[in-house]
Amino acid sequence: MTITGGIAEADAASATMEVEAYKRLYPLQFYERHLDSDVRPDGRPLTRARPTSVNLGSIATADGSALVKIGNTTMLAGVKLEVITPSTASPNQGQVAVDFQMPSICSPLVRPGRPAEAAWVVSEQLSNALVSSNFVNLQQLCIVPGKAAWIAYVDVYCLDADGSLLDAALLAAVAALTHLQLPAVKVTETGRVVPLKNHNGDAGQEVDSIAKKNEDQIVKSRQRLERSSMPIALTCVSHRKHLLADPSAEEESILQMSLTVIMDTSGRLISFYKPGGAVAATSATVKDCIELTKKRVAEVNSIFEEAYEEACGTEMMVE
Amino acid sequence: MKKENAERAIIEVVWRAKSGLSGSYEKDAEVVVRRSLEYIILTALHPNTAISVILQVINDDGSLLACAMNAACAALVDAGIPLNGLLSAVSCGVTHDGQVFLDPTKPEEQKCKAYVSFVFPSRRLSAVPELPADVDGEPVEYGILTSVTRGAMEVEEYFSCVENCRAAAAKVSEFSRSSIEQSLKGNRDGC
Repeated sequence: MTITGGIAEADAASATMEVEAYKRLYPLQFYERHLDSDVRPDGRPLTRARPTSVNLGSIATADGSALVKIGNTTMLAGVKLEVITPSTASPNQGQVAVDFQMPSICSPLVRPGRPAEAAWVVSEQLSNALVSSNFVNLQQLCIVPGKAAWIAYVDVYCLDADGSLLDAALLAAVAALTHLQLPAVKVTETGRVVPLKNHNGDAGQEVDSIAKKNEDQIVKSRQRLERSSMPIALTCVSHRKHLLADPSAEEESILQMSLTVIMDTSGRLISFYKPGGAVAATSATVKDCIELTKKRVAEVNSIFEEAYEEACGTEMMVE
Repeated sequence: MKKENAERAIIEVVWRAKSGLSGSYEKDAEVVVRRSLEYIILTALHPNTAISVILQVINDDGSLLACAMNAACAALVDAGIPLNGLLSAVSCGVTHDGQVFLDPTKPEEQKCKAYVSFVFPSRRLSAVPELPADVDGEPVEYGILTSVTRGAMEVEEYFSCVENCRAAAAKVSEFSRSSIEQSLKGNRDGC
């Protein structure tokens, strides 16, 4: 793509050099010329998000995991479970601890030893989204009320930071939690929680009834968490009158205003995060962003359901 | 490892919690405050300098972010940093029955379904009245500079929060303007 059309092939090389130089020297004007034709330098229409893919179960040693790619932005999420004593304030609830990290591998701007500023922001907004949307019903993580419960450590790692980090991180965390399987366990008389090795769902129930008859132990079979409305994020940037969905890292750094809207599959607004910026958002912009997010939620939901089907076979999905 | 900029001032915000170490909440709040202040501070006037805003939480009884933003703006005025406007920050909550109420206290924040903090640009008093004061058909002070939400709500409830907070922000901006004028008058008389 060149900025001046109809160039003879002999000049193609030098024309390419000129474009690159123009892009380096005047990045904003380079983008503006594209935006005025309603397109981005990579040919993507303004309101279309980058190709998104979700891969469940990428980490065999984790209790639940997912690898998400939105364009080049790549996030890997893993869930590990541990048994804890529930707090006295909420004796029949487990806990979810979310951690987000941006190792130096993800971007040349991230130096080892000093966490990038974006890491704190995404980490905070990620926990906020999971707590605000009540995505995980903490009571399902309870094993024995008051005595034992699961804590799910959700670790999200950014492997490639190319814009819209919160979108990918949230999708990865949510996908990993959906893929999560609570292992089959039994609780001994002394109160220890012991894993049951050879039981799947059916055998677990059999053991359940036998156990209840004979030794009065508590047995929990292997199960997934009950599905609920998934929160999905969309980051938008705007420049003058143009609104772009799902910006890349380059676009985020050049264009004036960015905001992230998180909505869930039942249409609720989970978060509207606009951290200042050079420009205030008008009501029209707010409405447009919410509309774009609704479409994105439907899009990502169908991508996710396909990935879930593939990974988990023909398990019944609770809506 | 300070980030110096030869073309403009850099703004640094430090948010100190009342107790405990700085976690991701404090760091996120620093980013929100910093980016909101970037809207009003004329950074190009002071190249190669740093403007540090330090916020110490003395007591948190709800609406903390809004209070911090108003404080930061007032401190910048007191410091005499050239600004191209003021900010007015407000917050509101949404109860479980969908009622919107302004300025939640801490217990109210914990009990309600969701709460939102907004920062709006203050209404400008222009020396040149012919300049257009509207952006896209609505006044400048209606634009949402910053929005931070906690908890889930319906889209209509969010719009209702925006409406209510715009009205509240107008009152806050009037009050802060008159307070600043009072204190400046006091200083002059004291000299």
